[in-house]
Amino acid sequence: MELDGLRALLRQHPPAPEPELRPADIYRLRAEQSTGLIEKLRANARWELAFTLLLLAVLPPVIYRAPNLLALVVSYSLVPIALVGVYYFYRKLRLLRELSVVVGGLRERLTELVSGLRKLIRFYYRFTLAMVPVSLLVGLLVGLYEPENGVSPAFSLPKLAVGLGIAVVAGSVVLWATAHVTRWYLQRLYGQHLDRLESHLRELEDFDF
Amino acid sequence: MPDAQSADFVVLIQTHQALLRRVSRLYCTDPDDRQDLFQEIVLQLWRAFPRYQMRPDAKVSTWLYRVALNVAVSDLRQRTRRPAPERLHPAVLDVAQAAADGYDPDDVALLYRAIAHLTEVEKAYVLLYLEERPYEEIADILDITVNNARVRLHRIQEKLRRLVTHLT
Repeated sequence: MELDGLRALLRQHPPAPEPELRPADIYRLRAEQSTGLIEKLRANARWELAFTLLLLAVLPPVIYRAPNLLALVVSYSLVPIALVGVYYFYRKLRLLRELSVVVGGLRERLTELVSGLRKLIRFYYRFTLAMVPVSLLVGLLVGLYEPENGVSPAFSLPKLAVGLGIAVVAGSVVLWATAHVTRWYLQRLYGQHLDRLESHLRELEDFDF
Repeated sequence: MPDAQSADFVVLIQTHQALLRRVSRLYCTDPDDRQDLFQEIVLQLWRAFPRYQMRPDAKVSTWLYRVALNVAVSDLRQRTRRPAPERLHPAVLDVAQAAADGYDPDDVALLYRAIAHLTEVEKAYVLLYLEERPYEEIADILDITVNNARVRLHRIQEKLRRLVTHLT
């Protein structure tokens, strides 16, 4: 039997009608939360944005009442990190909101999803790597600080140069390791979805007639 | 959203429930997954409904197939992966009826098994073909050219023949 035969058979014997959905069932269905990946990512991004905004709200009083220089330096350094975080999560949410409404034909939708997921991965990767030198810089400042003197008595320019050299070498190693781990993590999280979507897209590509 | 839109949406889903169920059955063999997919389709239709209402020239079946197949094919979640059943679903067609129409019920079951082996995109073509959508509408739903739709369907039919021979 071929598809044409099945089509003819289905035309003659359409499947038995489903029991009718009541309006209450439909209201319930559309009120339920989506369980798709995009919706989960949106929920996570909302929490991350809320936490970062809360951090930004808490920082001014902490800076104002900073008990010592160390707390002041750490609090100040958190401000640009949190601002970058707000920008990152805002863009992530905007992108996910665009992806959460299904419009257009299948190929258009798949193209949109692949490009959106790629953008998300790029954001995440760059943001994570950018945080490595910032964290190292804050760590260096904390290392140089002594509660009584403000700056460590052992501080001197040659020692600072050596310290910076070590920080750069260590930072490069940490950066390299972070890049690898992040790539592995992203591949694990999104890789299978991206591969599947791209394979679907290839199936819809036009032939060279 | 105003109540009138809500009421219109309820009527739309009630009228076209069977179409949405057929898409869910084609893509999910597990009943829980099937219900999840059906719910996701209804949810996405509801979200896209205001845009659809702003386009009075849009054909309802094209819009429904577009959203339903988009959700089914591009759905980003891990579903229960179970072996393909003998038939897609008993409700799709009463195989016993096939004999009365001169078809061997085993052949029908075999074809369903072969369809279950197709990729998700190929299943979309098959569904639209079985639902007697014209090539122009298939092309519109899948966002491809009419020529592409014709050639793809021809190749899928060839693939199904090979699969049927292989599964026999």
